[in-house]
Amino acid sequence: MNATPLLSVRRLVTTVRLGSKDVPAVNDVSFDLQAGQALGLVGESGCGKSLTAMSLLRLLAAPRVRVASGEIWFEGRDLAQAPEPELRQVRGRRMAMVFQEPSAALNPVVTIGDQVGEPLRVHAGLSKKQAFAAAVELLEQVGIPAPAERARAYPHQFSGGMKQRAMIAMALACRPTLLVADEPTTALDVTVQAQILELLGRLRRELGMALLLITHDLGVVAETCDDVAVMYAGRIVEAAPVKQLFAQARHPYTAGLLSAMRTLDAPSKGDGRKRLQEIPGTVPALGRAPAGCAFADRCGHAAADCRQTIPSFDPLPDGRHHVRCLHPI
Amino acid sequence: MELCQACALIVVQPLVEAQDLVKHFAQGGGLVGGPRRTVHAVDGVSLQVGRGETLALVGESGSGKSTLGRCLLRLIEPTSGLLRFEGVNLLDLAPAELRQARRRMQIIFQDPVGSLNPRMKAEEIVAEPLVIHELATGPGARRARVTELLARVGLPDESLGRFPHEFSGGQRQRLGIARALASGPVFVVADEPISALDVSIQAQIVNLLVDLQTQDGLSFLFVSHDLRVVKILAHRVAVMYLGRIVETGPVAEVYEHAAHPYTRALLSAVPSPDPARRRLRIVLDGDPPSPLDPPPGCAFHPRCPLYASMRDERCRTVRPALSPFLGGADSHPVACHHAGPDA
Ligand SMILES: Nc1ncnc2c1ncn2[C@@H]1O[C@H](COP(=O)(O)OP(=O)(O)OP(=O)(O)O)[C@@H](O)[C@H]1O
Ligand SMILES: Nc1ncnc2c1ncn2[C@@H]1O[C@H](COP(=O)(O)OP(=O)(O)OP(=O)(O)O)[C@@H](O)[C@H]1O
Ligand code: SF4
Ligand SMILES: [Mg+2]
Ligand SMILES: [Mg+2]
Repeated sequence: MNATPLLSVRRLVTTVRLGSKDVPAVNDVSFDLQAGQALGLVGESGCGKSLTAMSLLRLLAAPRVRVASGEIWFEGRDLAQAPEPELRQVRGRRMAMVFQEPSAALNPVVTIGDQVGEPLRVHAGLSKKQAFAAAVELLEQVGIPAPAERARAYPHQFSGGMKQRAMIAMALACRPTLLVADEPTTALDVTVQAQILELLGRLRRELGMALLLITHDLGVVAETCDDVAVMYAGRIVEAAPVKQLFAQARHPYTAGLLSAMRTLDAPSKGDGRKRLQEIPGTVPALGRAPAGCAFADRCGHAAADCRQTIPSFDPLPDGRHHVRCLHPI
Repeated sequence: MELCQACALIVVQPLVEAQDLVKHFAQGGGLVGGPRRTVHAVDGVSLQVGRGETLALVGESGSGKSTLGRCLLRLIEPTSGLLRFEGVNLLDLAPAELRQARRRMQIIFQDPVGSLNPRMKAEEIVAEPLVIHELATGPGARRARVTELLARVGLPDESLGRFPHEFSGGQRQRLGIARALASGPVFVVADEPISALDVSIQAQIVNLLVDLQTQDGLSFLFVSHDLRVVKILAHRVAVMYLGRIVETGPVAEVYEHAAHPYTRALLSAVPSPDPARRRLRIVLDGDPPSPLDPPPGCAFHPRCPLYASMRDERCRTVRPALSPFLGGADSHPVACHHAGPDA
């Protein structure tokens, strides 16, 4: 547990340009990830999960979106400072990324097989033909039927879930030590999803691959991850071992999220249709961060100090559970 | 109560009706090489959606759900079959008439990136259907309608002037929802509309869809992998496997008395944070079937646990029809030779 982490992110700040100002969309984010471990990253839509992920490999639309400060230690180097050629050595080879939206990441005029095999051409020196053959095998692993023939298809000829699986296959091509997967199973039915999660689990056990898994599906987090971090408005507000977080959420936002999830799961009367529980209110717009805690306006536990002081991210007495709240539950 | 003939017609006539819908695509040949093959994406689907009703469509990734949804709105041309919307044969409509009909039937695309014009600002994107159909024309009326729609999907006014790439994945998805609702449709194909949203925002969108249904009698074809949300939102559900519906019926009936082995496997695989709720998972062995080459007989037989234990010849040779099995009060249509309470 005390080994040097594979990935260590410290006080990461990533800004986006709004008008003439750079405003932080990822703010003071720190976490560690050990080899073979899986960390789940959850939080409200727009809270900065994808920007955090893309910051790790600096896949940002610079200069409008950029890492403004902080450290990203991965295999002995700080990627926040690394020059572009060095990053290219890491991307897709040591650390690979599954993007949230496959159609934004896939090239529409290149066949699926050529794209999935590309990392092997670039990083492992495989010929075009060898890479295509390897791609067919990878597509089979992610459950694409008739992979040899479907590898000749273009992205628009794939269903949403097939594109997603093609991207997973591409990310796994070079057997990375860290897989950053941004909502990798949103377009998959639960049986195929279970197969993909099983495949990732096997790579973790057999090759010690670490996994940063962004998802809104708390069931997937519970079944897949060792630890979980909850983000709200650009900041990590709670982090803990998975079981502990589900057993006792300490941040009121996490508690709201879990309670929304439980009403979804709870059995209902009559024909089964019912109103779902929302967390009342809305998140402050980007660049409109209040003076204190960003959740204060929606929080049932907020006191006067919550509107003045930004809470720090502190460990609770047991040491493994961290929370950013002045009045944790 | 006596109904006049016209009223009776409205009552019995479904809003949307498809009969024996087929959609095949060609793949291969030409520049890519390889033999030219046919993808059997949708292979003979019949369904109805009533007014004010939500029909959920679930099933394996690649089983033809999005293709079916796009066919229903004639966004792509079906290879064959019948298609009616508000009693009118959609396949007969001329392009201008079809454009007219589009105000009343809309789609929330599964893929927000591919469906939002990257050069348009959020305001223009959501206002586009209003412009096309000349709705909300007064000065300021259009912007008011757009801000109202954005607020209902939880996007702040600050969003108006931003381009699609300046949003998060879930925010883009909500832009697509606002646009689909803008023209006041009566039928919406919602293709995985909440797949990128956290549970709280999901709840907000689901509640919005239910409110619209209650107030305005909207109908939905709701395509989703989230079986928990389907249970809450939908009246009826249809389960697809390799281009066909293999089981359909009222949600509670299908969930509690699933009769098709594929439906049972699907329901058993829902991940849950509660270990006690993780039911015994039915793992599907064997290769997923290819729509280039659908297996003969029942398309599910190469992976079917029932076939594996019984080796019934019919499963391998005779395609099971979608017909009600005799399950007493819980009877609903299933396409399986061995469906039944004892199976
Ligand atoms: N290029 C950009 N320009 C301006 N703002 C941006 C840009 N990219 C992202 N944002 C904003 O930064 C915030 C964080 O975005 P991010 O994509 O990281 O969210 P997310 O947590 O991944 O959300 P989701 O769950 O919806 O995918 C959002 O409010 C988004 O609108
Ligand atoms: N334009 C096309 N050309 C060739 N094949 C296509 C085309 N569009 C879809 N297909 C194929 O048709 C089948 C059904 O695709 P569809 O997108 O309808 O699946 P889906 O059920 O929506 O899957 P998912 O849940 O993964 O989104 C797939 O095998 C897909 O590859
Ligand atoms: S028809 Fe046969 S193979 Fe198909 S689902 Fe039923 S038992 Fe299984
Ligand atoms: Mg995201
Ligand atoms: Mg689809």
